Amino acid sequence: MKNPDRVLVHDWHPLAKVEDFTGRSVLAARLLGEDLVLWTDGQGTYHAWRDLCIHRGARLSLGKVKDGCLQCPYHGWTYNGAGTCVRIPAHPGQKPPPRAVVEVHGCREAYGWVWGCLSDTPNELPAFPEWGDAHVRNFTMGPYELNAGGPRIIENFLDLAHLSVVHEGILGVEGRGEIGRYQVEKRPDGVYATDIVVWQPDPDGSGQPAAAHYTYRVIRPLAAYLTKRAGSSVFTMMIVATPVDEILSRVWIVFSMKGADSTPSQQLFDWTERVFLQDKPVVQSQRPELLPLDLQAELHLNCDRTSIAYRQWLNELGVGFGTS
Amino acid sequence: MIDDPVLLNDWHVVARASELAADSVRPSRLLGVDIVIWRGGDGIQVWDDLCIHRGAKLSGGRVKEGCLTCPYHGWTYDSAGKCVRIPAHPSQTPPPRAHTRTHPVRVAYDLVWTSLGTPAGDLPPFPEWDDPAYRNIPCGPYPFNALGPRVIENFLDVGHFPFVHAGYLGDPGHTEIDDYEAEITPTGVIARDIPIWQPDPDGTGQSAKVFYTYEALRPLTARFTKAQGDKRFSMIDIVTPVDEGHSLAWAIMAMNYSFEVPAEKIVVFQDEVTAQDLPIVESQRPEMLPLDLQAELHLRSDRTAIAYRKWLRQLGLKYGTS
Repeated sequence: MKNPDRVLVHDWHPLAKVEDFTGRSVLAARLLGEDLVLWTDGQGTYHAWRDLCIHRGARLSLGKVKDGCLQCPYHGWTYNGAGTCVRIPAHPGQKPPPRAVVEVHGCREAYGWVWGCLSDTPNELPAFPEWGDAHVRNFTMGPYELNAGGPRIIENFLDLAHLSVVHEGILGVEGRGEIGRYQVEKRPDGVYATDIVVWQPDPDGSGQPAAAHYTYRVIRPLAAYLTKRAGSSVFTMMIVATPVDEILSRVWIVFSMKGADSTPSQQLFDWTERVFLQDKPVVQSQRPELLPLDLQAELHLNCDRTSIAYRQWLNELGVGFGTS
Repeated sequence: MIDDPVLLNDWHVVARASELAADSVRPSRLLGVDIVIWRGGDGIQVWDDLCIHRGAKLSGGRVKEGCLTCPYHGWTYDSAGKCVRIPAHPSQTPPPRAHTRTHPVRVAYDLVWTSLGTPAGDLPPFPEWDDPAYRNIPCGPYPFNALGPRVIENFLDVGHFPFVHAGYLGDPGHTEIDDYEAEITPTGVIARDIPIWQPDPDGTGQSAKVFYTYEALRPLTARFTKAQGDKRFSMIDIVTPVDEGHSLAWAIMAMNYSFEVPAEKIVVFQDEVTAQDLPIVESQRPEMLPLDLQAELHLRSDRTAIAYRKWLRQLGLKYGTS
């Protein structure tokens, strides 16, 4: 599949964890409906290629890495790090033909994840500024596989009105679900929602109730970031939904906690995962699976202004994958 | 039903004859059509697996007194496919339309062959079957989540031995393929005398330099003979097009030597070789074999595949090709 979405092909998407390469050099992945092979030369360089040997169409992800090259499992065609075939074992004296190349994609590592981009002109990788900050505790979670399109997942992350229902007892209280006024701004580089105050029974996993102050930022169509201040703690989180297929996603989370020092890290991790897993069945149940960008479809209230801005922004960008 | 005149009017294997006991019934599938195979007093019958009354599958029924009985209302069909009894109206002559769609049946090499159309040609030849100098060893059928043309082309491929079958049919230190010729003949494709060094060419464990002669006999049937001196190892591979995503590969090996090696050992060897091919063939994209030679890349060592693709195009095969 070529250029399945003219916007998302330019974005970076997490495809594997660095630790997935422990004891192995080659993995299969799938992004925007395209099968990919991920491999490493063992020297810290990662590659994301189309999972296809042009000779007979076999999957390179069944192959192996030898001397810094990837070898096709079928006839041993050997591709160097640039994706050029440098050896055809059936004809060792023959120079491989110029067409014997693999379609090479962008690949890089960040936050312990290996990211891929299908375009030669990638956008910036979504930033999580707390990474590397010695004064905060950083965590990564996932990937979680969801039978849902990326836009539905991101929109749920931005949603306020579900907190007192889906996350009752943690992020909200039944009967106190009213959402007050807050600011939403749609800019060329994303959607910003600020001045959100929600009273929460357990805003940070410590078990202490507090008024939580949220700000959201949609960084890319399938990457969003939040900051939440509750008491003296600051919790930040970035969620990235990798579009495997139009209605299949892998969700990656990185979060940080500043303060709340008495809360053990494992408790914090479990709290965050528990919240995420509460969302999963609801998001998977949403129909249509493709997020309707026409605002006449579905119903929008005052509390949904972040969603409205998100849908408008996706529409302006021209995101077609996972939307309708 | 898959709309491919070439395959509809060809013979396909649907069962092993010796495995069909008297009065047995079993379901199968050919070219997307559900069929029932049964054996009564008049021999083996192959029909559409459907009772015209209420559409029940006849393969759920039983054989009684040389007739096949529908499991739903007991409509009873004779070996010609004609309904001869409707139990709800025992005295009424069944209407003329109460008839199954029957298919021709041939038995050869202990295989049951049928066709959904009118076969123009004969069954593919395998003369070793009746040659007393050979021991015949059937194996398979091997199910593939792949389409016949990809399965057959892999059967005809020599360049993959050192990688997919290292230690069996090839050796990573002997990867080079010498030049050979492949040609399209009036009956198919032939590639003669391809020399290959093999660690274990036949499951007996003796390494040898062998000479392969490959033939594509039908679009989905191929054979080879590998020769080492007077020793001959032949194998026919017959791929049944089950439907748009599935194939079943039936094979017979024939050897004029090593009679002391148990057949079970040779079969286990072939099962292992097929298990090595399976994930690769199932991974190939596109699933449909590209007949345009500008798609994919072809080298001298791929001459058999090139001739096979050209021949399929000449025949006008649609199924499993693009």
